[in-house]
Amino acid sequence: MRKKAISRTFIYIVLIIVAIYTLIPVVAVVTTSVRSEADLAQGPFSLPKEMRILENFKSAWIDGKFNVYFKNSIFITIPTVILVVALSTLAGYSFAKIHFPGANIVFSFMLIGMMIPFQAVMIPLYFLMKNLHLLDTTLGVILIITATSLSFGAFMMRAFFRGLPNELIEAAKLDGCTDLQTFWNVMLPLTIPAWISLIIFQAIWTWNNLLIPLLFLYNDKMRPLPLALYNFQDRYSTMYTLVAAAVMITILPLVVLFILLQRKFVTSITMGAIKG
Amino acid sequence: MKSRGLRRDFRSINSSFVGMMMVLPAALIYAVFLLYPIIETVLLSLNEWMGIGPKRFVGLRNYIAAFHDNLVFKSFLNNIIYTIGVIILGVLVGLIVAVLLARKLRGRVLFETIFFLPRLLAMVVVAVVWGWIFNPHIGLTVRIFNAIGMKSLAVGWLGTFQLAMFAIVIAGSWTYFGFCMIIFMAALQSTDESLSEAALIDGANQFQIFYKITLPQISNAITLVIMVSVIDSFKLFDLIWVMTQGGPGDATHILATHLYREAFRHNHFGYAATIAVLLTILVLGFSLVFQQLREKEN
Repeated sequence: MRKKAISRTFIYIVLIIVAIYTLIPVVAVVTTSVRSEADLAQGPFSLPKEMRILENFKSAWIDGKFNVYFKNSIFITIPTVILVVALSTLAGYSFAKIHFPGANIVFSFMLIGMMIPFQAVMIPLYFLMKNLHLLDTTLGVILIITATSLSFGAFMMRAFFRGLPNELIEAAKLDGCTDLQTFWNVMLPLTIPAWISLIIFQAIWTWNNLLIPLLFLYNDKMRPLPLALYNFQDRYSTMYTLVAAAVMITILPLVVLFILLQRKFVTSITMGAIKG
Repeated sequence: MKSRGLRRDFRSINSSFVGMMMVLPAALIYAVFLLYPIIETVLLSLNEWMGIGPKRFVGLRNYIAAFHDNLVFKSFLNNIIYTIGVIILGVLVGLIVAVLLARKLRGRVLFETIFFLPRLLAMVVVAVVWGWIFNPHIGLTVRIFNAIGMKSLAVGWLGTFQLAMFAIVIAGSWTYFGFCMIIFMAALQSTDESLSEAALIDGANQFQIFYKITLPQISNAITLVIMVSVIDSFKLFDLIWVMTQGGPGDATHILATHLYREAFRHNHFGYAATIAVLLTILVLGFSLVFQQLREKEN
């Protein structure tokens, strides 16, 4: 019994050390974002002398224009998620249940995208976007993030639809449904759990993406949060309280959603990373 | 009878058409913005091009240059260093934490949540925040190493040649180990408990049980996580670009940052495309091995 208690204490000590390693940066951001500039010298792990939450957030939100960047992130993320989910669902269903001639070849080609690093396409993409006049447009960024996400989306939705029994489709057809009616009335209502996973994964990947906006957006007014944060900290690297407030604005939406939907988040991020 | 057969034919043609139309939008976007640029990258790698004017065909000269480019070699080495670092600090810590959390402990869910949280954050955020921790003026590392009298480490790590890569590994592993933990916890849940119980009765100690019984049962998960680490490490860009831009000097360049700079800072698009092709071959190779391993596991 005593031996067990000792090993239990040991386990807790290890876990707490790792938890400290994990939380130090988080605590540093949170405390810095509520401090006054003058109060910084005591380092991030003392209690702030005066709370300046509102002032810091207001200056990042309005003077730092993070209200604009926040809106930009939303206007990039929401259409991208809708596009990816819609197109992946259509393609995934067709690959899994309709088997048109050549479906396997098309599917194999789409799988290549899961193994290709973005660096393999970014240089010609830059010139392609330039020629299509999509450089410096939100639409361009949405299209590119979508293109890089469709492989995984179609792969995942195909796997999901394959898991649904064919009897459902046959029964619907016997009742006189066409392919589209079967898809719309019988299959779609069942896909909601798969959608939630894909939506979460896609939203995080889009919200956090730096490289694609960095390459294709130059106009300061169009920048999403990660790119804005990168520029902001480049320019105001020593205004720590302001940068910390900007970091908080960037991460809060995801952190709040994570706390609400924890299990779902963990499974969909893990599933997404395994795609290879 | 005949008309019925015809109707079925019509139906299956119709069905194929619907199937194609459902794939078309995805396939079109994919082909234009992903498949076509891959081919273009390969073609561009055989040319010299500054971004405007005509391209000059140079055959394999870019590839020969890349193999003689010290920075390509150094970047590749840094990719390897980062990979090994993340395997040690990320995968190993993830495994240890997963094994400890596999017992029914109070606060288990809380620990899990805390450990997984960093995975959510944008790499830019990770880079900015860890940049502060290694900062020479306000940084935590400076305070700690000053306090314990190790002056040689009480510097800005990101500005110090020997330490910068190490600092990046610490930051990268920080976002990564929670993810490894989740995979290992899932694997541990499916292990056969009765084996370890039998060993315990036979007088084996905890370490023996872990090493001889648990570890072989989760070896597949370990291989998978290591492969994912290798692939992710070679795809890395954001973290290093924001933390150091490859500096100090060129101490922390990896292939992805080197090629980004060659293309978009120096306008050496042909040469950058060459590095991109080499990087792609590496990632593709690792991915194929990964797929093979997964299929074997299933």
